[in-house]
Amino acid sequence: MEIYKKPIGWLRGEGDFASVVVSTRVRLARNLSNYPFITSVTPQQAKEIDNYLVDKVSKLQLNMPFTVYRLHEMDDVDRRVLFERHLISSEHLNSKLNRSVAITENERVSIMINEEDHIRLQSLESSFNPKVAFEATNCIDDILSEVVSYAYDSKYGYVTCCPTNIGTGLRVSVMMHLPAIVYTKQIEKVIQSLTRVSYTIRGFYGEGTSPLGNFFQVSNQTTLGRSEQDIIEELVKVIPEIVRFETTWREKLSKDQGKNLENTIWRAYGVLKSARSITSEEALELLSAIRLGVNMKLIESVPLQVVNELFIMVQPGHLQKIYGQQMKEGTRDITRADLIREKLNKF
Amino acid sequence: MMCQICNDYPATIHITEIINDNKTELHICAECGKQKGIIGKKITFSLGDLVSGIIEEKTNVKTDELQVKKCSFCKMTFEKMRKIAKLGCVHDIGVFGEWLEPFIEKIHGSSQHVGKTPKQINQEAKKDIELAKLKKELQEAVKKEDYESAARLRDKIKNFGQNK
Ligand SMILES: [Zn+2]
Ligand SMILES: [Zn+2]
Repeated sequence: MEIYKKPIGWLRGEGDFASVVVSTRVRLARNLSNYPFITSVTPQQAKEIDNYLVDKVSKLQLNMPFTVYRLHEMDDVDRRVLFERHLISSEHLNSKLNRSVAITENERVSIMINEEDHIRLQSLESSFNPKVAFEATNCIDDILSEVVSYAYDSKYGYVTCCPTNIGTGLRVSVMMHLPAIVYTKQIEKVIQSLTRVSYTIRGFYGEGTSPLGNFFQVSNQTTLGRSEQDIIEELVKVIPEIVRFETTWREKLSKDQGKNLENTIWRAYGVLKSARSITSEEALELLSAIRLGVNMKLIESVPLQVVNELFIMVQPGHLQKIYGQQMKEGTRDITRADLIREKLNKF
Repeated sequence: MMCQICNDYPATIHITEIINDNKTELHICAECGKQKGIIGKKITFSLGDLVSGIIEEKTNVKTDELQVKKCSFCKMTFEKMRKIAKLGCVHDIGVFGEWLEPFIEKIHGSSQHVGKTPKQINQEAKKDIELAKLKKELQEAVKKEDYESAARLRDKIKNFGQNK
């Protein structure tokens, strides 16, 4: 599987609010009406569903054809690569059932088959772009709904395995980089105000108020009682508020503690450009500092996309593919440092 | 902090266990959590709590009657649904509707879909959604004291019933 070599389109670091918003993910949860849901399915039925949906998806008339990966037939490292590239979820990665994922060439759209629901349509976009991401899944959903019979109820809408997704089955998740808000200890405030308006915010690499790398995922909590457009429109009002808050504090930080901040960022850059062994925890923290430096125009030579992609490349699946071997923990830290040095010293 | 089991992914689940004054902490990633069955258990547990809370609030829900119900299509029982807080198939909506409605209402603050409909769907269902949408708009118009729109919507809703 060669997918690990490709640049990742949705990490290109262009678009609205790219300095704060890394990416926007939209997903629609769907199920078949004529089969039990994943909670109650037998392995044989799961196999049937998988074959049936792979066939239907492969035959869809689209401008952008799908490549199908049968996860149950792949080895663990290849599956991990798909997971690290956000093309499948951890639930999908670890399932024991027959399951597949269909991915478009540019990796913007993927269809998970036999995840928690029979069908999960997902779209990823660079920076803040919920409308485009929604349209990408919405049109595939329309086409698919002509050839398969969805589990649908006039009162509850699209019936999903978990009641928290019922209705539109729509979840929009925005990945945000909020180092200044975390540093100035105001994340609690942001969490509280988002929770009040029914949004979920959680750390991307770890939970709590200072997750690794200061990445957070903001998503809508409810899926029933509002239309897809309303859910997206509201997000279009909420997310820019957080972006403004983060940007204001970045400016304030650089005014009040400029030297301190510069020191942290350049030290991180120095370590990553010369370390001979680095844990994935330390790599994430230092890359986060560099990302801030690039966005604040302190580090001008390194493109944002390179930094964004390094967050993915330093993970075990990609490392093992790039260096072509199963690696033990200690060796992995060495190759991780090698990879980061190689990528950063080009600039 | 990295996962204490695999050391590959950042720990996103933090578990504190206190047995006889001995506190042990475990920090693991979502994947390992799933493999060890920790995540599944935790989520089920909290949703279960929420559910029993609702049942107590809504005393008109007769759990005795629900207790014996079973979905003939997916074999879901009330017992199991309460435990895992998940649906087994599309028919469970009808079979356990009495119990599901307050549960879903509690999660979403609503129990009526107003979003899109699949292409392959019968006309009757499409009309139901259309009607629900109009009713919601009417509610909002009344709230905003926009009586002109409210009157228009009320007439539309009336006509809707006749066409049906
Ligand atoms: Zn782990
Ligand atoms: Zn059922």
